[in-house]
Amino acid sequence: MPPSPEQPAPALDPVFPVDRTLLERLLAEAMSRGADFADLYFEHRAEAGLSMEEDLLREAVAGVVSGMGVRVLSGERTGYAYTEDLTPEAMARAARTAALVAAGAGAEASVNVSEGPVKDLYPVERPVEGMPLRDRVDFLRRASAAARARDPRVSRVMVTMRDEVKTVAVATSDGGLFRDRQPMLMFRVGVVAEEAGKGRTTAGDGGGGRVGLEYFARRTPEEIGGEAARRAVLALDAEAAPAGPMPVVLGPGYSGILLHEAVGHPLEADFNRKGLSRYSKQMGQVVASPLCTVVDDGTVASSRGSLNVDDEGNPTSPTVLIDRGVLVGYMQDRLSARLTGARATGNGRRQSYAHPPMPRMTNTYLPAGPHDPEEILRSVKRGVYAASFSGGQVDISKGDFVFSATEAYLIEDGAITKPLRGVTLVGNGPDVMGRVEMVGSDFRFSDGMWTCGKNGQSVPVGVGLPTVKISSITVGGTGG
Amino acid sequence: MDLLTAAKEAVKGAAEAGADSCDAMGMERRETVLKVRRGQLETSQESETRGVGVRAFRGGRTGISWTTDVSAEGLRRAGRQAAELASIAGEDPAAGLPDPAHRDGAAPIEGLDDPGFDAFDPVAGVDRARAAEAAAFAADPRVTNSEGSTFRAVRGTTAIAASDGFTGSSRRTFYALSLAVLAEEAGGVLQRDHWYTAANLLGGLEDPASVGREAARRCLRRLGWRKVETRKVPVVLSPEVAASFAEEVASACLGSALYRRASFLADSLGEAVASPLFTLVDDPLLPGGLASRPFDGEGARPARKEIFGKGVLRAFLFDSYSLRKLAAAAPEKAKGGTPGNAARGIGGSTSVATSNLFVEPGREKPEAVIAAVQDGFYVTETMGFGVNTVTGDYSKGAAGLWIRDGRLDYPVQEVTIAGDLRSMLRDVDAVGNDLVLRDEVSAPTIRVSRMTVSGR
Repeated sequence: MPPSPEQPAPALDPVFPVDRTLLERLLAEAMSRGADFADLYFEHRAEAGLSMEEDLLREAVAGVVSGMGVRVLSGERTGYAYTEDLTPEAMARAARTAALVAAGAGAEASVNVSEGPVKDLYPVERPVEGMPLRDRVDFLRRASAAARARDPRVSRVMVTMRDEVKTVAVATSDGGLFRDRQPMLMFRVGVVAEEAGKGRTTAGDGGGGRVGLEYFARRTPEEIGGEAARRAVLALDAEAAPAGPMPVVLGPGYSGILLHEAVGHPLEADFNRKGLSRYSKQMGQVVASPLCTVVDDGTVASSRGSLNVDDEGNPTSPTVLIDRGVLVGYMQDRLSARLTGARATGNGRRQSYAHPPMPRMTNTYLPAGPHDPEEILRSVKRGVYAASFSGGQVDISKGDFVFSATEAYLIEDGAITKPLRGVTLVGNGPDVMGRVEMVGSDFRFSDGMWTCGKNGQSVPVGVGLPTVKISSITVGGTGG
Repeated sequence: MDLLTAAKEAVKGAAEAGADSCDAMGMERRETVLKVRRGQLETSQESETRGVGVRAFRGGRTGISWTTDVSAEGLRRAGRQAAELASIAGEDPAAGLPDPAHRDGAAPIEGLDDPGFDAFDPVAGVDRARAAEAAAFAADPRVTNSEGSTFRAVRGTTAIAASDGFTGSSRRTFYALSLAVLAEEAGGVLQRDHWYTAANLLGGLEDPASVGREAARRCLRRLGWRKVETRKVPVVLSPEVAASFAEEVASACLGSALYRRASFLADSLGEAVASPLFTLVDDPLLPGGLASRPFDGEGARPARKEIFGKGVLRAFLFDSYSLRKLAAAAPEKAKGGTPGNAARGIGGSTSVATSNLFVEPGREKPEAVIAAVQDGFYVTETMGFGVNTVTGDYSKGAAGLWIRDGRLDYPVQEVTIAGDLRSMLRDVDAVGNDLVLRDEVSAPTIRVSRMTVSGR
């Protein structure tokens, strides 16, 4: 829609047909029933990808999705509506629909919007979208060839590369306007291995983040393909995991998924404000071993979970959740922060314009500790070493969580011995965090490949952990 | 522009840009979500959304594009882009539209589209959500908190147009009411559980008060939990957990896993893999079925399939791509296979998925299935991603009730159940008569003679 003559202000962004005057009018419409707060979230998401299987480039895909969501807050109530039709009429209709949640008589609302600054956490040297799809095929071929070259037992290799550029604008009824451009690269290799008499196995590896093609200088396609193949072939010789409680050593990086499940979700402010979380009444109390400090930080440079500005216009920040074992903070969105008098921490996130925001993790990690990783391993007489994971789940109310290892080993007399299959670990958040006995000096973030689900919404996240020893956790195998 | 016309525009765009065959799928969805918590409306969400995805084929090369810009120009552009993308891809003889033989004969299915949808008053949805939550609180004073009670009303339309002349359009409605409630036990430990009802027609929903009472019952039976000693015992899967098991087994029977040999059942077609008590069916044609459809995501005709019949692995599920791939790699395994299980969203390619999946009921009452167990575990919930359908390895977090002398005794949590899918299928030694088709995947109570429970 072209702006009308009395609205000479330039469009908000080449991708959104909206100027400041229209934004203000839509916000006023959203506030017209006497709401506490309203925001508009504009999103334009351009994706492109390639998938290769058996060295055949199976598909080239590309598409664009764009739309706008209106949220209205009134007390504890949220009204939400969205539309892909970005004409002033359709957007005004969405604003009026969302406004219905505030039962006020109807007030004249006026909003003055001015653009605020945002950080620059993910500068990209060589934008992926700048390279034609045709020219990207080589990255997939290299990964595929490396996986095959690794071992003759590799029977199938699948590689996908996908990039996304999300352009967003958030306008708020308190006058904020924030724009961001959020790139994302995803590269993934899946391998099936087969050996007569041993059956078949599968494994994968991947990476990426808010990065450009320079990513591949740090971690080559060959490395990722080779790693996926190594894991798949290793699994052919894996034995049944033991069953019962025993010491577990978590390898660095990937194991951060433990924190994500065990303490991350239950420390999201919405659950705590409503008394639904294991940690609802535990602020200031000891909830983990003194070796544990847990941080959620949306400002980690180029990380998959980072944001220059969260999805409701607040700056992201490092938020200490647990300080040397003591619960000190929750991850807040605007609604929970307002209702509890807390500071918004920049954790208000949403999957897309079709979803209202809620408190979500960004990059959740446990910083390095005092112990030498070798020493940690040597301290275990018999236990399990878990190196990589497929994912986990938590019951935030009781705090029980599980997570499943895709690469794990038996530890015997302080050394890694046999590879294990089917290792699921089950525990209770505060109980397991209290059993963290040693924390290694080898902190690292997992390469970018995690996606977190909550209430039907998926968002990209990061996790990180050094080598960590848990004195006892239940290992869910079948062996003795 | 109606949805089928929109799909045709996208097909035109692809054909003009050089696709030798192509299809487009349009999706439109209207949704109302109303959430009540502690008696008060908490969230009210209204949306109308639409988009179109298009696949273009060029001599076995596949390109895919999608857009939410449903103007004639936006649709043509997406079509053209798909055709251009196809020129990048490799030549794959398995790519392409479904064979004409699998196209026609789709008949409308009864009970999927509620004619009263437009007239439905959201206030009535709020009332149902409120009634369910109130019933949960009223059921027992130990129910002290609520995560919320949500009512959803959805109407979705799917339209497919293809360059071979196929067109199909189908509309369905969906209503659901779900809630989760909490109870607190000694030491401040919170227990949470949920319940729900879902149906295509509003009249198919269960009474809100009974849904609320069931959520309360499920939550309260978790109070006073213990962890048990690690041991091997008979395990009884509740209908909900048996449904997950059915889904896990079925995912090893999808054509996409089979042509890659990424399934523990890759070489087992025709074999008596499971107990003769186990029959697993995928039926996309069930009247009023939550996953019923007159045509699949690429416009192929769906059909009822008996995946396992009395323990014998009889059929795999396919889309046309995976069927052609398997036919090329292992013709004996693809013999008699038909497509019809293609799932598709607007943004991407098709994948193979189950429709209405269920385990046929047996003869025993669920009480009898439990009564035969002296010392065992009745599992009401599993957690996590510990199932590997390539190796068959199975290890999941579990909660439930311990069975002692044939009766449910005390709640058990923070344990895992482990085994492998092949042994579990073989060791099914009782199937209950309590199948209720209340979700896309359903099962009766199932007993597995021996699994490892890992706890203390």
